[in-house]
Amino acid sequence: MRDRPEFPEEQPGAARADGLRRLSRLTWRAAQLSAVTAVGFAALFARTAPGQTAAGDSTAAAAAKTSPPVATPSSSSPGKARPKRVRATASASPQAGAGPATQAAAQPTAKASQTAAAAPSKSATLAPPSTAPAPAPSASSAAAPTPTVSSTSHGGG
Amino acid sequence: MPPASVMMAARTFPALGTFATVLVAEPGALDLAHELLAAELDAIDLACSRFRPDSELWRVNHARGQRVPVSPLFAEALAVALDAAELTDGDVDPSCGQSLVRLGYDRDFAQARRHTDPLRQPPMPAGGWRGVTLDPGQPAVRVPPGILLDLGATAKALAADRAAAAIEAATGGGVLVNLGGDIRVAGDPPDGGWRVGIADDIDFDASTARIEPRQVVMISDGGLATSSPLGRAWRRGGTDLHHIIDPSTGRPATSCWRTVSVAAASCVEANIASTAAIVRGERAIGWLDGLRLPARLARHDGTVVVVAGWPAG
Repeated sequence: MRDRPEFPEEQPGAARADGLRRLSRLTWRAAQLSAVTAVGFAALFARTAPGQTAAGDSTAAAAAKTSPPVATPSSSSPGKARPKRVRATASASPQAGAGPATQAAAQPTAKASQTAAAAPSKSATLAPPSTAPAPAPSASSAAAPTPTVSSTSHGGG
Repeated sequence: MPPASVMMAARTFPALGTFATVLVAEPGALDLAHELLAAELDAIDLACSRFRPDSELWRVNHARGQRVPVSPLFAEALAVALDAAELTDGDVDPSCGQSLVRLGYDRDFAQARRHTDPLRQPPMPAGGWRGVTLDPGQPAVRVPPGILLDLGATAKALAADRAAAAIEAATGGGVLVNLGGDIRVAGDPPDGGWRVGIADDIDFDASTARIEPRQVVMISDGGLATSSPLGRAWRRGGTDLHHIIDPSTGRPATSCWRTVSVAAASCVEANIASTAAIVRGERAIGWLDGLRLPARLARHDGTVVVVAGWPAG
């Protein structure tokens, strides 16, 4: 008989209960799949977002209002993207892996680089000096001031 | 015993298209200080010149997107430049080289300013600094095709920082290094500090002869930098141009300030802040004040705004 239950010994409600269990399992697996997909999209977005985020000045404005008043690069700032690099600190000598051209280019820097370790460039912050500029006394015997004039740097805004 | 200011010794010489001055508190240290400064300037020029075909920057800019091994010095200079972009939300952008080229600054400034014919290409905004990859471990750099780096905004200030530290380490005495207005002091200052003249209305050239300071201040540590659109200006096709680029437009920044001087913990920081202040215009007042960076901002009409403890006058 084609219309008989496959397992005639089961009660009439058994098929319904089995169907509900299967539906429950399907629902649970669909939920799992959705969660995995969401995590995947989140990871994908996290990797690709820095290259697509437009620059803005809201972060600097926010930094200017915070205390302590030191601007620091912030990878967690909304809408900000970091350049693709690890925090750079100059080493004292050219790396062995550098090509001949690089080593040749680096040679003239060796003398300066030897002592450059004492010149940490605190460029990751915009910090004030320990002592603010003070008014100059009008002493006629003082040496002529060293002029600081229009910066001749040619780029970067 | 004469006061320290009388004992100081100084030497000025042309460098990096501008002037370099070194002052030492101990006159006997002047020759060594000069030698160290000259070596640092040679090194930074060889690493970071946009116009020298033998420079590292030239190789990086012409690598067509390929990874280029670089010296530690170049890596440091680029790291500083990228930090500048990040700290200013891109207002000080090392990827503005193409913008400068479009504006006619495609060769040494002394040569570029001789050309006055109209520009042939429209301005090109910058903003590509985020695509630059710096691997400080190797070190190596990769610049996306089409991006042209210009490290001029920060490399000179970096040279001042490095040279001052090197001279102090070698001589054990106080030193002031001034590279075309980018100043760094190190070691024990003379009594009362180093006297620094602030000029804000000059037609600057590679000489100190025409400078008449509007204010004189004393500094004891850190750096002091002055930025101005008056510094390097030229004319193309009847249009006045200058070297401080607004990266968002690729055009010379239209600023309410003719000069901004900033004091900071280092010359690099002072330079970043003063350059960004030119680009930011009025917003710079609150920004600098919030950072507690002593600054003097001069408007085109001559009025002056001082913030964060910069002395009035």
